[in-house]
Amino acid sequence: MTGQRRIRSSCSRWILLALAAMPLGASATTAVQPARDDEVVEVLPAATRSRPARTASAAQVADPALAALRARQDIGVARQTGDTRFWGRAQAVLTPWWNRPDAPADLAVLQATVMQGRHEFDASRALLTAALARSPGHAQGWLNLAALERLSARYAESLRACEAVARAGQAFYAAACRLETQSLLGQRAAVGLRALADQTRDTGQRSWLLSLLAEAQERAGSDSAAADSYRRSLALGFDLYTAIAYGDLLLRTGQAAQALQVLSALPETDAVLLRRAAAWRRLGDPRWSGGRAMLRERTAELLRRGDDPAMHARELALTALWLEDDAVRALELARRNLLLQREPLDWWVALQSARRANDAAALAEVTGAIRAAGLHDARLAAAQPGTALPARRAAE
Amino acid sequence: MTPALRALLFTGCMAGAASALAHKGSDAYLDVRHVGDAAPAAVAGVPAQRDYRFSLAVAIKDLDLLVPIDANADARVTWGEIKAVMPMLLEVLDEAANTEPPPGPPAGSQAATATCRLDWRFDGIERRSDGAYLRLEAQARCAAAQVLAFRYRLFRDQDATHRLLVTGRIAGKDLLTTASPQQPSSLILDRGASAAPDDGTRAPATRSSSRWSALRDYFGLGVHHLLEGYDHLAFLLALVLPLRLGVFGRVPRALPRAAAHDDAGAAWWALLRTVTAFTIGHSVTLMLATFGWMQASPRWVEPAIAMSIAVTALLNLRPVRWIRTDVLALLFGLVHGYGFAGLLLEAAAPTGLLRWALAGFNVGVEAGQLIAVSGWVLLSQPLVGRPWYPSVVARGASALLVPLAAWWFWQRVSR
Repeated sequence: MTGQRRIRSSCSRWILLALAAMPLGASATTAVQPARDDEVVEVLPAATRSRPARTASAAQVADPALAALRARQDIGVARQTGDTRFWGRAQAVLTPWWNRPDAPADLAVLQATVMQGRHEFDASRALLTAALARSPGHAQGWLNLAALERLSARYAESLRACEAVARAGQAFYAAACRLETQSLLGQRAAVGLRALADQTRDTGQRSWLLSLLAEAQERAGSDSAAADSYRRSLALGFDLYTAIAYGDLLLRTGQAAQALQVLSALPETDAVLLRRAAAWRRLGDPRWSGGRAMLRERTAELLRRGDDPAMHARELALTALWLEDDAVRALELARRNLLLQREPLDWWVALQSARRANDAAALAEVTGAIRAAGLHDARLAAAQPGTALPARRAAE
Repeated sequence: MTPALRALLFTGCMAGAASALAHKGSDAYLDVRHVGDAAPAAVAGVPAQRDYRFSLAVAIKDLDLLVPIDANADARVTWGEIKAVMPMLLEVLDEAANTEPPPGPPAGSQAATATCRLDWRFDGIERRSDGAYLRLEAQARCAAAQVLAFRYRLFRDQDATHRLLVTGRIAGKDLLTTASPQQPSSLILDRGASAAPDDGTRAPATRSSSRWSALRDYFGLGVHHLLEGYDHLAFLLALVLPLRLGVFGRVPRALPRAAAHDDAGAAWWALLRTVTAFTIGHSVTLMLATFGWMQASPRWVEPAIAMSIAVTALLNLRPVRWIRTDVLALLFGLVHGYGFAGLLLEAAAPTGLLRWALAGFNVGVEAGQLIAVSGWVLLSQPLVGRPWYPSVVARGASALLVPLAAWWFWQRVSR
């Protein structure tokens, strides 16, 4: 918990500075006047169709199995809708075990998942590490830890966590875990990922493995193969993150119209709205400035409710870069964001911003950090000026 | 592999991925406006009254957690379904979002108190950035002298990150604050006419009042924490045991460790130095940890606190000449500060009020410390003058503290 606070305090000052220029206007509301009784006023996430009986307060229901089930439902909805309130609901369900050193491993891992969903990565890692010290056979916990380490560009640590997944008896997931991390290190992974995808008959798993394959192909510079894998993954099962990643590929390769098509079907989270506005702008659609205004308003709302905007530095940096044309601020935000997360996209924003801001020192610094981390990504090589297009380090 | 485990592992794989998304959590919006004094002037003995207009907007998505609005559970909330559960919704809101009668004997009549309670009415539906909201409206007529407090408990058990965003205008000043249903205190909206002459310019119930209430609430928390924290008390006891604090002019003989202080004045001086050193120590780490500048894991802090008791008690038994009590208190104070911080962080001070909460908490801890030491001084009065005080009371209690602290240490390490 304190680790995350450390990041926050260093970031928030800068981000508050960056936001100082934004007007803190009252949030826009429109009155709705239903005419008929059967008029639909609100659509709930599908998950509430099997509404759990939440009348008994979370504090009273101290059944770990039931709590885990409910928390998992909330986490699932949070992921599929991008609606942050469901992280808060999951936390409420976990209240009796929250931050308790003697919590069952399952519930500690779920707490870590909620923290991760809220970008409290350091706190999540600390909690997972402690829980795994108590229950070293918890495959799910190791998988989450591996994902966290990947997200922080600590690939050796990530591989070690993948090994622990194997030791916990989950060879299939351990293999996927290893392959994903290896692909970030520039090692051949596509063959293995495709083989894993062929191996399973579960469409959800297949869809997930194809999304990993798509990302590996994109990093290896095979954009058209990656686009194909994204499409196949999404055809098998919808996933918000995969859809956004596909949209990013389309935007990056100059296919704004197709990107817009993909994005228009998604729930309007901040990440989606940002990309939609960027696509509109590139297509000369005047709606882009409305999108920008709405993003500003949402950031103001975040501040207003007391959230730390540092947790959203990636989106803020992208907004500054794509919609505000303020590369200097984008670079500042992108660098702060790198203290929080280090996925390929995070490096990419930093490099793009540094280049746009003509900041050679920052460019060299970020490039050096990427090299030090061991990340291989064709997109990052292309983002550096004076560098030839990357050798197609085929993932195939 | 069972299907359940498969599903579980599968969602875990996506954990890193899904982190790219961001949207704000669940918020409700309250607007409070002062609509002018009902009674133009206060007639002698009759308190003037004030009228307020409250407007509240709550997400339908959230309300469905408390009242099954979507009766046919098809994930679509229709206008008809909303109308059908409206009485239930209003009842829930009256219960969980309402003004609070002032503490102590009622200032006015029962009827006057009743008019100050909110009776929410449906006022329409509005669309915001994250969905449809129910808008509600209520009027309140409260005694002008009364402190207007608002108690908000909506979704306290259902959503740990729900917030109430408050705006409005009271006594000519803008109101702008954010509240959490988790926070222990109610929100002071209007300090009442008794707080200051009503010239229309006095500070309203804005941030200053929430600062004050943070200061006050966390002061209480600090006092309680010290007085209920048996380990901090035991440490203080170990520190003061060798000091013979006579209040009635007795001249006690000090233990060898405090050999230099062979009169009561010196013992008091040693007490002041030791307690101050402990205070400085724990204030430093409490501040560092609360602002996130330095961190400490409870995994070592908690056993270290137990250890500090054992070490101090051991030094009472076997003094080491070059170890000064105040330096010891300062060093161990640093450890105890992390212990205090753990609690303060758990109590989740509202963002923006952290400084005030910290100040209140720290002063509260000092006050608790003062109470504890005073208690000990009074309790030990019949004993300090006895010739056997050093050998029986000071050494005996220290000898008891050592195994006790060792037991705590073992407990904290092994859990």
